[in-house]
Amino acid sequence: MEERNFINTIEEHRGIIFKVCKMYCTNEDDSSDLYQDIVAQLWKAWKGFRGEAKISTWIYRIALNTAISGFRKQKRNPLKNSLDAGKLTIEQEDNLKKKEDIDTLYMAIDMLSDVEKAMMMLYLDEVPYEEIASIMGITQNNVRVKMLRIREKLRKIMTSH
Amino acid sequence: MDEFSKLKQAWNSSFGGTPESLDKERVAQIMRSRTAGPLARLKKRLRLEIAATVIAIPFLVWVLFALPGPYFIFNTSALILLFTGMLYYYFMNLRKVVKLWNNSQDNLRQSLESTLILFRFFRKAYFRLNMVLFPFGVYFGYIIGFGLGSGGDKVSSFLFVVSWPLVANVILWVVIFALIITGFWAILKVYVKQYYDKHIQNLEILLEELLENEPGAENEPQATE
Repeated sequence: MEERNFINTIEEHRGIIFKVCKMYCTNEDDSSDLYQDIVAQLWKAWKGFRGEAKISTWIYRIALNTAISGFRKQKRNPLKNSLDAGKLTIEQEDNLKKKEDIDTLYMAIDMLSDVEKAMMMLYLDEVPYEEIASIMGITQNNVRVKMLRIREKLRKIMTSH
Repeated sequence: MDEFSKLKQAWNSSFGGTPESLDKERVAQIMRSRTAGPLARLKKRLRLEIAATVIAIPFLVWVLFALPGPYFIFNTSALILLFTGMLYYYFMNLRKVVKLWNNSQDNLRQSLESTLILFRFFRKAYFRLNMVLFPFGVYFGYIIGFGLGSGGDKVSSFLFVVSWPLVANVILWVVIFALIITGFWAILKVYVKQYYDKHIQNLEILLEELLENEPGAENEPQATE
């Protein structure tokens, strides 16, 4: 019963795990390892989840903690698969403009630190600042300061391309 | 439209669709797996050293009683004490750090801090265990190599140059042993640096970055010793 509830929750929120894996991994092997680590950590923490936070916030926390703090091998072959995933979507939609934007997005992601990637992902997923602060373990003010810096960094990246 | 709005659109186009469906069988397998997760893999890595230490203790106790002569009493007793001490250190501290790690998965800051403590502990434990196991390996090889069956006289005749005074023999052995240990220490240092230090350094940089502008933040987490 417990296992079935867990699997259903994972199924429902698989998008978060999928995004974190894509954000922090650059090829299928790494992504598969990270996916396994995240699911293992979620299952381990499942019994301790008391519903004090939203389930999505809880999954974000554990997935990001695992991706950032986890003991994983160094990245290889930067962004190849992330870009391929993007290209696949684009080819289906046959939209060159979108392709350019997604290429720019991944290029920008690649230039961010792991902490910045996490903040950017949460921001792009429209998670409120209060929740971002809770997931990251920092003050809301610090979240704002960091977001301003990321914005500035992205502006520079995008104007130079 | 600012940069973030453009990126948000691109983000939604890239991840907007339903991601690949969940492989429920795989999730079930991961749930059953006992070695999934970074901590489990780290523990696995240390298991060999722990197993060797556990096996070594009864062997040393046997050596203590089986081999006559004063030469072995000091060496063997010292190794038994060292090994027992290492195991005690490992298990007592492991319990503490794993508990801390399991209880601090609330946010990224806590996760980084506790992972750092955990890694520092594993690094130290791995280094110390190997530094203790290596002299044992040399000692073990020495005893086996010169044949336990032929008795203590044969061993002691190799241990000491009979025509030399005792002090000279002791100095010679201390020098030889110190050279072997120093060589091993240097190799182990490089290995540990390659395997643990890079990750520890990376975690420290991330924590520092996260806590930048944070009021009253202590960038250095307290190690549990």
